[in-house]
Amino acid sequence: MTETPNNLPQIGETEALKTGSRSLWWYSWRRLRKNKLAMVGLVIISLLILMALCAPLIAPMDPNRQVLEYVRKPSGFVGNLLLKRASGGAYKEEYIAVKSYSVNGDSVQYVDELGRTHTIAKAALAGAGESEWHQQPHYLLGSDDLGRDVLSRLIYGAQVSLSVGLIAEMISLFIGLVLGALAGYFRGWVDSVVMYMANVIWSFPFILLVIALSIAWQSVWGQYVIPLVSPIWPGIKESNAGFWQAFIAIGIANWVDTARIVRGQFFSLRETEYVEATRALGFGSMRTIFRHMIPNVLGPITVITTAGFANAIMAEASLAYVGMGVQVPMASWGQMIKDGYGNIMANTNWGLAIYPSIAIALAVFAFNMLGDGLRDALDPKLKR
Amino acid sequence: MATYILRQLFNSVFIILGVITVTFVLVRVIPAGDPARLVAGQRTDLQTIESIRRNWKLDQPIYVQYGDFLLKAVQGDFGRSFASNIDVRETLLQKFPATAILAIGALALSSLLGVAIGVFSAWKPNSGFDYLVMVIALFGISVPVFVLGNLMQVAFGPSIGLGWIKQTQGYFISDTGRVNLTLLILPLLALAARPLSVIARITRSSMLDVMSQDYVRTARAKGVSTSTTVLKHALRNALNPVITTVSTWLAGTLAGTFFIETIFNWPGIGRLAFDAVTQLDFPMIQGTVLFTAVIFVVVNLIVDVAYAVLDPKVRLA
Repeated sequence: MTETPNNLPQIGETEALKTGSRSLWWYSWRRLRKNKLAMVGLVIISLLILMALCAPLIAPMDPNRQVLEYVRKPSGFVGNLLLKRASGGAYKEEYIAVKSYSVNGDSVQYVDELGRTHTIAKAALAGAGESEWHQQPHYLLGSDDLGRDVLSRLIYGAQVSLSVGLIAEMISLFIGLVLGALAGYFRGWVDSVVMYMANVIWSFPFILLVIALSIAWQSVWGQYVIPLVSPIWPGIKESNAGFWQAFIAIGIANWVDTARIVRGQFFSLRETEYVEATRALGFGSMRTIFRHMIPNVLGPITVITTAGFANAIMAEASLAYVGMGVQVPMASWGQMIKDGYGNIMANTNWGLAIYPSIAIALAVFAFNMLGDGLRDALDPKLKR
Repeated sequence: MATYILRQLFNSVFIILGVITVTFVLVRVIPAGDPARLVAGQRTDLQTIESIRRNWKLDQPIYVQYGDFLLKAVQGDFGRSFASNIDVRETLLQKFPATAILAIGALALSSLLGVAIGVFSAWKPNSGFDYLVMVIALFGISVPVFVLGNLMQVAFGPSIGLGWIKQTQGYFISDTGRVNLTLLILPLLALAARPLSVIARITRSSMLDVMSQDYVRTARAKGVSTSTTVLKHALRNALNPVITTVSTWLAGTLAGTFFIETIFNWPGIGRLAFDAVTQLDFPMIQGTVLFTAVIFVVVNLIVDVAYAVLDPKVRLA
């Protein structure tokens, strides 16, 4: 289409370049840009992705570091810690929570949280100067039941939520796309089988199916995946099952919507001229489906994928809430809600459950807004 | 008509068979090694394992196990709970009414309110009201049920002081048989929020579709008043996709009770399933999964048939 024969008069060439060679995506993006809600969603999603990628840089503290003296501190609490050289263990330095301290030549005298006075040699403290061995961490959103910084856990939690959204959605997109395309293209018994499977999956309450799949996955992992993968990747362990179970379970439970949409699209697409042309040219079914038809349903697929992201994030949170999400102590928003839930009941620090709740709602909200905007932008017929 | 109903009935039975098979595969076939040991979990006393083995005919070939599983599932015999040693079927039947009240109530509330909101929004599209309501609806879709439940507990808990909706401990139906309606309000609202938002959005877009059609313009041109056009001419034709949405949302509501019942201490199937999952009480998990799946299939069957009775186009398709 972009090739203009040289012997033709090139009238209005610039206009043709401006308008003629632009793709559906260019126009869609232009329409999308005008949709304020969708742009808000896009900005929130971009910020969340940035937050997840840069978590080690922006998180004020280690999300898993416990300071047991600082359990359930309110928002804005400022700690007072001395760092002592550790004699082994996971961390290089030990934290000592102090009320006050004073430097006496070569030693430091401090009063601990229980009001007892101790003396410690300066040499035993970590770091060279006072600025290194004395820290006053700022707990902006307070600390949780194990004395971990809530803000840092929220920031790291974005990694879990977004990666579950991404991987689970890729899995369900793959299954849904292939099954939906086959059903819509071949119809007949293929369609009956695929729709039967979809109806059976559909009949299970989603969260219970995800849970059942997670439980089953643990033994699939031990019995089949570990022996298969361990020669290639020796680092893989039995305990890694928890990390993958959420992805797999949500991915397998979530493909039905995608399959239905793709199937519906294929029903009408297979009657179009260009599909008929591929048949006339003698292309194989697989080539027609994957090279020619699937690119033409990318619009609806983009929309359903965005919505699927939102669903997967919610499902991960639900799974974690039941205690079947990623491995503890990895920070995940659903896990944080579960941990903080008791505080609502006890009417103490309810922020512990509320902050991650807001984070989840915001992420899902952003994906839904973007999905809505994409639907309007990619399908001008629906636009009002 | 009769053939249509028979075909749907046959389909439903077939789907239930599929549901039972999937459950069997997930619980019996996939688990590596000895299912009895997996199921018994921490309780590794030989007596329990032996009794599970005998009960599930684990010494027999897999097709015998499957036949036995199928036969028991059809009879509703899911064995006894590991946690409480009570018959699973009995517990399910006993807990079901509480869930039914909650789910049906939430679905009724969200249908009525959702359609009303959707119609109002479509009446003057892109007005301030429309915009505000649709953003709220989008938010309603985005908040997971358990998050909403938690937020409501904080908002109506003693610390913020919206305590006028009583959150007393106790049950919806007391021992003396008195119905305590105030206990129903919060879980009902929390459960209804998501379907309500979805239904409002579907109604709005369906209404907008219908309102732009020629016959509506004709009605207006004839001098029919706005309210009559919207409510009598447009709404009736706009309701079809809404009814489909309502019926598919039944599954969502049933799944939603899983969290809502736990958060609000509601003695139904959802709470039962939640406890079963956290305690890894396998017979109970099996029972609740199959039970809810069958209810879903049956309700869908009823909706399909009702649809066919109301709309002749469906029968012919």
